[in-house]
Amino acid sequence: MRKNTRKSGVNAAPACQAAGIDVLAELTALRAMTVPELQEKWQAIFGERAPNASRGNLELRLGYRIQELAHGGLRRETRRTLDALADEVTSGKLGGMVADPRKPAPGTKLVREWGGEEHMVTVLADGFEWQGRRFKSLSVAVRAITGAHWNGWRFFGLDQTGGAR
Amino acid sequence: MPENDTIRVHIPLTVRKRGGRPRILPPKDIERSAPPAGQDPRVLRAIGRAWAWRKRMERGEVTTIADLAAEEGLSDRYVSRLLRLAWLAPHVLERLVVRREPCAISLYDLCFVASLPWEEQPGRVFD
Repeated sequence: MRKNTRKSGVNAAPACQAAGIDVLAELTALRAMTVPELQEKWQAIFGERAPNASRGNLELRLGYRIQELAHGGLRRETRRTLDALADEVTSGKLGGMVADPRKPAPGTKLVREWGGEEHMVTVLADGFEWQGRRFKSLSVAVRAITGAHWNGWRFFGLDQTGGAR
Repeated sequence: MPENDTIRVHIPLTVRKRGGRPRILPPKDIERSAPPAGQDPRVLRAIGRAWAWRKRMERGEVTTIADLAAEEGLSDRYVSRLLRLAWLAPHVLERLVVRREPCAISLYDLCFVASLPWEEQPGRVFD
């Protein structure tokens, strides 16, 4: 591996932020650095020891920080939205922000004939109901009905890509 | 109208890519009256997940991707790829998450956009 001997001036001065750091040159320099060099750079930029991360990860996060200093970071509104999104995803209660556009309004009844019988699934706010059983996803409900793996949306003709039924 | 009885109907459609697949969107003025197209829920979910992981790493709750992956029962490769979403350029994240502009590339490709310089990212994600 080729070592880059260039040491740019950014190490020294976080004060020159606005004064036109050559961001692209910085990013190119990162790409040529060895892992110990990246770790050193980390120490200089973040003022703490580099995490035990892969080179790709170090490079990504250093590059991000360099550009953040030059261009500014996430706006508060975006950060708030991301936080809310993260909460929703980690709590597993999808719905508010990550509503699936294919999902009809709660209370909707989905009916389809299968094996000579008519099956009715009710859309709930947080899942689906079929014969008194609750399911987290429509596909799981359809698996209970048919005993086979189906895309639930497709089974009920709700997917947009599958064409009109 | 010319003398033959052909009627030429011009509908200004633009074909835009969404999730890597071309999709036809109606002209702008019609689009505005329809409900907003919204973001692909898979993209939102993935970004939310990546953001939650980034915050945990920044708080020092987990230090390595291997720990995170073990905790979530996912592969290292998957976690490290998805995690990159949290380091997409701020204005790209804003357009994806706040303004819900549809992403023109697949989720897989979106993960790798984070390594591009910030100025190059919007062109890759939205056009």
